[in-house]
Amino acid sequence: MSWTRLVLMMGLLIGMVEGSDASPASALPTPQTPASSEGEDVPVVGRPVDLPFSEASGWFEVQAHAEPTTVQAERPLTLTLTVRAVRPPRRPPQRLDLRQLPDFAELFYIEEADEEAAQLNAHTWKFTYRLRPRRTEVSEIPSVPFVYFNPYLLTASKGFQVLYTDPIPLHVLPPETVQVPVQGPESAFVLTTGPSVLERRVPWRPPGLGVIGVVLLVPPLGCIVWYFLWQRLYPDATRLARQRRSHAARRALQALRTAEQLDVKAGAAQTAALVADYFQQRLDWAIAEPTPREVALLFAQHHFSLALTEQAVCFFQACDCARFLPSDDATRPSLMELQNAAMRLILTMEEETCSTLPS
Amino acid sequence: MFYAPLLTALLLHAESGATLTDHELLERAEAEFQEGVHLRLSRDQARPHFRNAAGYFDALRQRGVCNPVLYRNLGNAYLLAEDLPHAILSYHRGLHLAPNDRDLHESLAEARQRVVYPASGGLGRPRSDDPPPWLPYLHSDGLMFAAGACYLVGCLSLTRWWMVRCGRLLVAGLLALLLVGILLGWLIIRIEAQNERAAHPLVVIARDGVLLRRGNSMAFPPRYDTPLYRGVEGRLLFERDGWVQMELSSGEIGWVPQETVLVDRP
Repeated sequence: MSWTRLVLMMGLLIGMVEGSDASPASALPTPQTPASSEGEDVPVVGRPVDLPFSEASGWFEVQAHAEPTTVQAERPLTLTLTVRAVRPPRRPPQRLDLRQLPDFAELFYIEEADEEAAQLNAHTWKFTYRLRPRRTEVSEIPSVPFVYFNPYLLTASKGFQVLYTDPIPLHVLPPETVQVPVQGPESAFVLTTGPSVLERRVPWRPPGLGVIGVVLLVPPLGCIVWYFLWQRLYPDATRLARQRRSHAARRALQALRTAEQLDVKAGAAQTAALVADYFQQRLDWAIAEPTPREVALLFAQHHFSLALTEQAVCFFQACDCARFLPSDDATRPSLMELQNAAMRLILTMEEETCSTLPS
Repeated sequence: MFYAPLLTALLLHAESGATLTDHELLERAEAEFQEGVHLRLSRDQARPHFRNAAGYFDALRQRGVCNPVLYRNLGNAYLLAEDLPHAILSYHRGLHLAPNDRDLHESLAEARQRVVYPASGGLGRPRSDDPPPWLPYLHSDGLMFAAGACYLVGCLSLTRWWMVRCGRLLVAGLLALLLVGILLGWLIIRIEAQNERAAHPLVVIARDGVLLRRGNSMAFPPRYDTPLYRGVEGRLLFERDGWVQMELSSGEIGWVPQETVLVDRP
């Protein structure tokens, strides 16, 4: 090995160390031929496991460009990755899948690649990506690691090189939102205002037993008081009411009023019959045409007063007189007198018996 | 983000409980509601205002303010904030105070239309409890007053009939007492319903996907495979160990966790 060759090897080693820079051309080794005799074969051993491999073999430099750099969140931007071979390439670079890079996957929605890499010339390739920032906090496009195999380096273990593009500042604006109106009936949007909103209404509860008792007892008690007051203030009305309480008396009185058109004899007979019928219903009396004597006996059995008994006896005697005395007899009573006497008798009897007999 | 509503509620509660008067609370509630109405074309912007309005109205309710107008406003605020279970609960509370309120009936019907019910079967679907429109509603106080008045009229009529024996008074008195019986029967039915409501208060499902189970534990199998969604109504039967046995409006009975329901308690 000559000294010239030894110096050349040292230069290659220095270039290998600086080869990870984004501008490897500045550290190009001087030899024009590849160090590996295997040429196009890319070794499997030594590939970075955490970064996608571009499948490229040669000596490359890479640049990134984004357009636009001010974009709304979730709206697309174009990232262009330009790869240039600074030495004759052994294998061209393939499109990198940015979704395999956690920084990109976290910050961007990455659309599916739908176009092939554009090869501008024999040494330059251009890859285009459509990215959409996920949120407004995204401030830059991170560095893109470009992994390739450099066969020009003499040390095989250092053959895999990683070039990082510069981060690209990005200004992400808030996304435009679609305005969705509030759904609801029109009446729900109307607010009821006023002092009634602050009312403290107590839900209804049934009254207690005491209140219910008072409500139930007060009207009947009031009515009883009213009745006794009425009795005291209007005694005649009370008497009339007692008389009306007897159906038999009411019917008898009504019949007496309709008997006015008859002559004296017939009228007297009818009046006596009406009063006798009243006695039958009122006192369960079975005699159809009682004599004054029988009337006196009957009233004595019922313990009626002497005045009432005498009034009844006189009435029936008057009826007999009217029926059997000659018409020119001055002592014969008129029909009107008989009827009035019958009414008085009935009313007097009702008044006297209302407290002792059932009505 | 998740704790924002909780934080708002805590702030509202702390602020309302400490310093604000009822009128100030009401003013804030109305202002928030009106702001929500102003922003109604943007749901995302309007909803927080409706939610705040509901919080202020609810603070008033917790202070003892109780009337149908407040419950209608509260229910509307919840409905527009898309809090369906609270909206349904508020409308029911309002209807308990004012069963004839047509706005409350319409709003409740609108809220029920938003509840997700199973496409097949009637699980959880409420029966219509609206009274017929021709049937007048008498408030319980009115019923009591009418029954008392009829009772008084009946007593007076019968007493007067006893005095003067006029048949019309007897008929009037008997009719008045018959009416008293009808009104008291009506009132007793209403009291029974009120007692039933107190014993078995309203329950509204507050979460989506709740399964009715056969017992008060997750170990029990679901009674039905169909889950229940927010807004489904029922009645509380029993409570035990953080579980609630409820009877749905359609008659089905089952247990659900207590935290998944709203119970209508005073």
